[in-house]
Amino acid sequence: MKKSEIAIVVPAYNEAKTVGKLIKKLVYAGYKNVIVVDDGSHDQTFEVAQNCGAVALQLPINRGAGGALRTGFSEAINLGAKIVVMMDADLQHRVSDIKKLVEPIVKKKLDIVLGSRLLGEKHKMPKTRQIANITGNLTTRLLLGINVTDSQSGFRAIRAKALKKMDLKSSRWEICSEMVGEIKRLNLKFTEIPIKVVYTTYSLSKGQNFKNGLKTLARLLAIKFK
Amino acid sequence: MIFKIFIITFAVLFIVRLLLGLSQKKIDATNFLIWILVWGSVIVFTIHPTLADQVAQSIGVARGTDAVFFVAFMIMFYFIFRLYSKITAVESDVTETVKYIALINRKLDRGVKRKKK
Repeated sequence: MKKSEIAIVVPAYNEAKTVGKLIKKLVYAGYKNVIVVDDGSHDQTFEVAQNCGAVALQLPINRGAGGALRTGFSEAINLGAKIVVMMDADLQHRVSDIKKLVEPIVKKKLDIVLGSRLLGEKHKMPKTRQIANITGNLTTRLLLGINVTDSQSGFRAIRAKALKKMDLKSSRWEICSEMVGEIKRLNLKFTEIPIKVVYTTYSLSKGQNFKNGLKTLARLLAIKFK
Repeated sequence: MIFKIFIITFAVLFIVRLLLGLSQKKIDATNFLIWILVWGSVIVFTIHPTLADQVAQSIGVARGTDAVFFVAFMIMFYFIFRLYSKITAVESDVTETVKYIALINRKLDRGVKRKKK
């Protein structure tokens, strides 16, 4: 699989400080199709992404991670990508792990590979995040009928053909669980691989907290039982 | 007695409004039937308050008032959840529209000028 056939989708909200560094790392690693979706930021996220050579899209209003990812996925498919990788803009995820995510799709013909922060060697996930994660996993299991170790991970690789079949309705963080639900609904072949996450004060200030987790649960219930 | 008349009048007015809404196609048949059931029950239990106690005991609740409140809360939660589901669906539609705007702007190589906060 050539790196030119892989698109990296990065949803970004007020990430001007880190998105430029991420794009440069990705480009240096050989990934040419870096799609940054500015989710209605109030800083220079869009301009930084454009100047660093990414395919930059801009949502006119903030729609959440789900909205940004859905937009990025559409653009990735438009660009003819065969595999789409989604990752965070806050440098939490390591560019070197992309190869580990993509390999099972290419070699084992899987549809989707989920990066899990809770597999492999002893992880350093903060306790509060662990509790939120366990709650997310339990909710995903009860509502969507599928058991994974890290349902809230934003670091995943998906075969474009499988992505086209997914019917994603989420606008916010619940898209992570919704995608896992789509694996079950569409009977997609998947696996989880351990990923290392870099926790910094900056990256910990981003992402889900318990209050958002409750909102995610409510939205998932609304989607499931509409 | 005055209180009963007031409640029954209010319920009848609401039913008339529902009928008007149905004739003008402002309300669909399912919602019409649900609300007719609700306000019809209000009238019946206002005229025959002891009926509420009989119904309550048959479903295992001691007092008619308790049963009425219980059913009312259940109906309210059901409608709140339905509203929330509709809001979530509308949010998804808004996101889809915003997505297309972003994709079209990308094709036209345009950015969105936004005021800094």
